[in-house]
Amino acid sequence: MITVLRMLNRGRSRPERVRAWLVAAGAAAATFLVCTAVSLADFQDEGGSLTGLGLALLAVPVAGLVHQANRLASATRERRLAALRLAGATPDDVRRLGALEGGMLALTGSLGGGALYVIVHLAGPLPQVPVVVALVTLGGVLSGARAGRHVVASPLGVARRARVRGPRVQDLLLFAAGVGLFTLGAVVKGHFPLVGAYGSVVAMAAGLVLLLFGVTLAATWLIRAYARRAGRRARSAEALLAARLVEADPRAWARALSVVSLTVFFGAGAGAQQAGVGYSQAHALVDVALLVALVTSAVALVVHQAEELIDLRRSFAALAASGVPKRALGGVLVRQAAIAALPVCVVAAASGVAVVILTIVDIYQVQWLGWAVGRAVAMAGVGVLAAVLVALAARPLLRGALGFETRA
Amino acid sequence: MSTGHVLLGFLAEHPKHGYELKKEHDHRLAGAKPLAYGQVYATLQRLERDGLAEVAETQQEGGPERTLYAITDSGQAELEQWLNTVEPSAPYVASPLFARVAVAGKAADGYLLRQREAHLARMRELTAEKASGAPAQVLAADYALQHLDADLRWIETALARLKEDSNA
Amino acid sequence: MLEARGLGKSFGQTRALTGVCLEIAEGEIVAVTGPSGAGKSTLLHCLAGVVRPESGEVVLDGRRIDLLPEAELTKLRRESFGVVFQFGELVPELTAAENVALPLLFNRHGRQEAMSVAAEWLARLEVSDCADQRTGELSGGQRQRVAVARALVTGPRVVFADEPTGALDTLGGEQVMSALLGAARTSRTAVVLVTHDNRVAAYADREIALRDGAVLAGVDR
Repeated sequence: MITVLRMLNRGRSRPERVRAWLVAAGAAAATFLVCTAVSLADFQDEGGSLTGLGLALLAVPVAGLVHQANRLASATRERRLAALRLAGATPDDVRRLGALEGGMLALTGSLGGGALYVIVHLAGPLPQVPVVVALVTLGGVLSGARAGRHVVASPLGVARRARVRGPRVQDLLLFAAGVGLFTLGAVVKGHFPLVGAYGSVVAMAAGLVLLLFGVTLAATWLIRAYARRAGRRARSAEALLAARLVEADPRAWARALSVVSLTVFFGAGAGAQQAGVGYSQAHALVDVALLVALVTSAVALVVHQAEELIDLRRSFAALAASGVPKRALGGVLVRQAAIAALPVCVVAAASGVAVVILTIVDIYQVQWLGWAVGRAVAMAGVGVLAAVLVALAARPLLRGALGFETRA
Repeated sequence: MSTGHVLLGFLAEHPKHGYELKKEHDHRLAGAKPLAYGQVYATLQRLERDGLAEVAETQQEGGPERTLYAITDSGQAELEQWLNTVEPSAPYVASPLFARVAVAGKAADGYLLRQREAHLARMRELTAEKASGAPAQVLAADYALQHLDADLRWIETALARLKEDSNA
Repeated sequence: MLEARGLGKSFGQTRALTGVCLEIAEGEIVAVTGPSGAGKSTLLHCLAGVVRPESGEVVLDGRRIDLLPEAELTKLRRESFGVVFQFGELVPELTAAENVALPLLFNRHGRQEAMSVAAEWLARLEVSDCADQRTGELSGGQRQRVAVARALVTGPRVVFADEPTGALDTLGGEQVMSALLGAARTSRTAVVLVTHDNRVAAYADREIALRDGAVLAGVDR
């Protein structure tokens, strides 16, 4: 198995090497951030734990990025895995190969991140380091095993899917469980009944991970419902195409936007809290964390946009050949981003504010709402803007993707 | 293909006279060369001699005499056998097209290009006929088109081979 | 009406077209034939204004189109040309009717109007049954007929078809061809048909045979 992996690695293409670097770097960053967050979780010091919380928050988008990066160059990878299946690899072989690849990248990355933490915090608490490294590696293994799942079933890979599975009740349970764990961790703080002092941090982190998946799944539903409505009302070709494209594959958009929506969610939540507590150094740190998260979300969106372009190449090239201006096709990309991002960001911002207000409703004052709502609107706007900007930036790529200048 | 077997097949439905058989032949074997009256009667007499068909009735109503023929039991058996016999799968290449190229060798390319044009022109005719033809005609046109297409593909391969040989 | 004068085009070291000259009259149906690599698709792309030739001219109704700026060329393609590819290249996420309506919508027609014109075309090509199905769910033959409807819906002067029956069996191909040519003849639309199948070429009024990037001498009359 290792031999096969080595053989494959030698023939890797450039996008695949980029993916390897992104996954490893993401794993390193996640490990470092979580280790630091755990070391700061000192519940005698409110400011310190808030800082820790900020850093833990930052780990979530980074983890999301790792998962998204694992999907980069998925077209190349799926073709490769399909060839392996045709050459006689069993579904288990393929899964193991993916797990091995993802796991090794994550392990390398997280060992680097752990080492960095140890060097920076020689005096700080160390026992969490192996645990975090193990967790991140496990994440890499799981993500890698799942990455090639379309070709695992059939060696002929996937045709583009005409229909998608609708969201199920357990998706919402996942979402609810995530919210529950997170708030529980946040509310009880130092008095968490399990795993001692770090218990509440663990609970909050676990809650965040569940939340990430839950948000993705709930967003799938939301995006599809909104896109269907937009498709019915579309008056122009661009709007109709954009809506239908989003409607046909809301899951991919939800995955790409999950990091964005979490950023918006926490941004709005933080805003609601800052309105009451006042702006402190810890809040500044949380804001910085959000800013970094936003950049990460943009990277995740770029990855998605690249995938999308590869998918659309043939039908868009045919449209361009029959005289649809490239500008109009670029417009489709931008509208797609807006249609997918708008509902997700609005709901994320609203629920961010709602969660904070509900948690501290007994002390919340009406005059704080202005700042909270303003901040929420700003966060939603920033989220949609990020998606639209990425789509705008992807337009020049479209020109390359539509070229007829190569021999068919 | 034996005209006798085809006529036996038509007689198997119900007794018919010569004129009827000719009409039916020309209609159902739409792409084939039309049958001459003389050939119809000669074939019927041969079938009668071999005991495969018999005269069922002779009518004379003012006009010329009309003989109604019917199939016999041994005729039925012969027809059955013919319908189920597999044609030998091209044991020999017997085509004037091929013979000409075999004789001309490398000088054949001019001829092949002209033959190609002629074939394609005929294919265009057949394709146009298909658009308005009866089902039997469409079937016959399909048969002719596919065979012409096979010839054309051979012509193209032969042209490519001739060119390869002259380059080498 | 559409004319090519001395078209040349190469890809790297490969010369795809070397001085191709041809003329297509209004409503004429022309087959471009030749073995793979003869330059058929490149010629089609040059004529359709998708690819610009390196030398020579493409003239539509007396007007050189190979020198037009991209925006004008795109507009011309949208208004005067239609294309059908081997695999239809429809948008799988849209329904058949929406795919056909798409060129009209890009020409800024209203949605109601575009959808009703699309429905008429689907009926003419006998694929009304699949109007509300996504094209990913259609059979190859149905998909090609939808593609034909999409190419003809704007009333173009020329339809370019690149191996339109390449992925179909004989009967499926026949249906697509008679649908395409029947519709083109009634609307006096010229058709340029690229194919390596002689039976498809036999649908045309005339053949242009390509060999190694040039028109085969003595065949084009």
